[in-house]
Amino acid sequence: MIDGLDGSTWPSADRVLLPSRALLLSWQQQTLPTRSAAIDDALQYWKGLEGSDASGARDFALLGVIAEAMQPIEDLAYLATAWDEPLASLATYVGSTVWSGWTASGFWQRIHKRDRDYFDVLAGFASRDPHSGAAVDILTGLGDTRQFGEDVIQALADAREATRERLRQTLRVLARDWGQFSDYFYAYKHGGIAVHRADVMWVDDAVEEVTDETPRHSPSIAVWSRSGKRIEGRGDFNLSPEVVARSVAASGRDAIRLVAAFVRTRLAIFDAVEFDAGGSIVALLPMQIPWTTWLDPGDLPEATWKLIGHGPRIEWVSDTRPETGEIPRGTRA
Amino acid sequence: MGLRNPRAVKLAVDIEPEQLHYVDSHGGWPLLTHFRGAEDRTAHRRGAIERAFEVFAAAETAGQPEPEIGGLGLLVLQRALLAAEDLGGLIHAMLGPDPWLRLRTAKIPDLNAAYELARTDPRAVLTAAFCLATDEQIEAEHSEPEAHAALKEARRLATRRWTEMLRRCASLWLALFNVAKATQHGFPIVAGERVTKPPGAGQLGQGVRSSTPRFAVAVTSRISGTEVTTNRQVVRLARHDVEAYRRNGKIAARLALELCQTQAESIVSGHVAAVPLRGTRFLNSEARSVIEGLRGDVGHGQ
Repeated sequence: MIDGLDGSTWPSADRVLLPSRALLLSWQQQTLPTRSAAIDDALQYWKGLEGSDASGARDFALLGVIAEAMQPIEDLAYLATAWDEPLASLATYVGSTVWSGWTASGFWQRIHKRDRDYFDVLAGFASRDPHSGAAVDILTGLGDTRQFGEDVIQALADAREATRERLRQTLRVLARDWGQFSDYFYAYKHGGIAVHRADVMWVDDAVEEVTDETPRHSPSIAVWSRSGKRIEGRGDFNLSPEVVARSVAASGRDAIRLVAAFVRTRLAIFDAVEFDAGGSIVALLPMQIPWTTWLDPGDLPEATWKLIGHGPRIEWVSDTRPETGEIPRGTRA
Repeated sequence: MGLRNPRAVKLAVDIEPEQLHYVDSHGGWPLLTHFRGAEDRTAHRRGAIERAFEVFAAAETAGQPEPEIGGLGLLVLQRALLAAEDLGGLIHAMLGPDPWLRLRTAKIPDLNAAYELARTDPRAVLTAAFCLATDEQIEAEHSEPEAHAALKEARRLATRRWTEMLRRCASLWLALFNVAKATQHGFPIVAGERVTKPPGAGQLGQGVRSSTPRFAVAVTSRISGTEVTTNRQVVRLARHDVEAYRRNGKIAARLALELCQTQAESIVSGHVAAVPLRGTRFLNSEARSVIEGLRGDVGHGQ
């Protein structure tokens, strides 16, 4: 018993809580700063080559920006998939350590089909039952919310809907970016198979013989395909290299922000748990559910922000019914 | 972001090699252009590694939090492993038929096999991938015993240099290819401080030992049927470790460049093998003199 609460049904600290906490904190303190630094470096290097005649160097610099920006987009796919499709009988984080050639593409290709439950799980409003696949509301799991006033309940619902909508929109944009740039990403990572611009020219498909008068095209970037693709190569003929670099870097940073929010929602529960040096739980502390962590100030009316702020605050109380017959209260807004 | 351009274009190659038929029989035009693009590619890899190291070193000097410094060390390693993957893919490609296909389909087991061969039989790799002339080829091209001796001595120097470079690259890749995968796919890596500082990392930290205070633990799992197997690999991230990743990553890029240059020269000139003359200043004067006399005529075979 901890603070009068029966912890016998809680997840194992050794197998679940501590490893999950360690990995999530590593995301926050190690990985996200690294991803951010990588994008900054690649973009700064690319900008240093602006105006340079060294086309090969510029091509690889641009590929470097694309690759560093695509990394957190892939990261988000792994984390979200792990929490949406948890492995039965294992800690949820384990799924994010399993490599699959399909995880990233599968995640991004399905975004436009996702329903409200899916976005609730991604946002941390619900968790996925590994056996039934059902989305289980976390407020239901944490305790009785009848004490909340109707205005608070409505505000929480509004914030939830605003979050779903924001995620739906943002993720569709990133899905489009993944579809557009993942081939360049793979080409950079696996062999650096950029087309050597100095040796080639791009002409219309109908051209049979190339002469000095044949119109040429110039892609912002072009790579050979990893085999298995139905096309030999890919090039972007629509955007300038500068627009590609700026846009893709922005997308990468958006993905980093999304991963940061994802990690915050999963880490919040650990704010409530006090461990001793040996890793045993010794106390439960008040915590705040980061209900609005995905949102920007303009996503909700000011009145709603005033009601719920960052989110509901949880104070743990004993589940032993007092003699007065009062309903035990597990949550407080 | 912009829309996809639906227009299909085709790519025309604009090179004029002396031996057109040799291109088709030795990997084809895309492979040749890939070899010719090695200078930009490998310069980029080297530069990326070096810049990452500078950021890591600056973070260490500035006393940033340990997990952040460790993460930047992992970035150096990630970029070094990209260079090592490039080299491994090239070696794998040149060890079999249809090298352009092999290059673009290489997977980790292929890269591992290539590096294992580089480690256990570097001569085989040098012959296949670096076009290093054999005794028979040298003797077939030149009739003078003095030429044989001088070229074989030049080859011995090149062999020693390349073998050492291969050994370092193989050591980097074979020890850390799982970390390459981890850094590029989801980054399931726990900062060492999360393992060592209370309350620890539970099961993930059990039995984890590191010879350096700064380290990380790469956690990779595999699913086979209903079984999930999780492996943990300690990645050392002290300054000297990260310096080693930087050094060996840059060697991999350098070696990839030399492989590509050798291959490109071989295809364009029509010579199937050669003796690199880079280190002739280390030869004795007699051998140097013979080599100077042979310059311009040291390709071997057709």
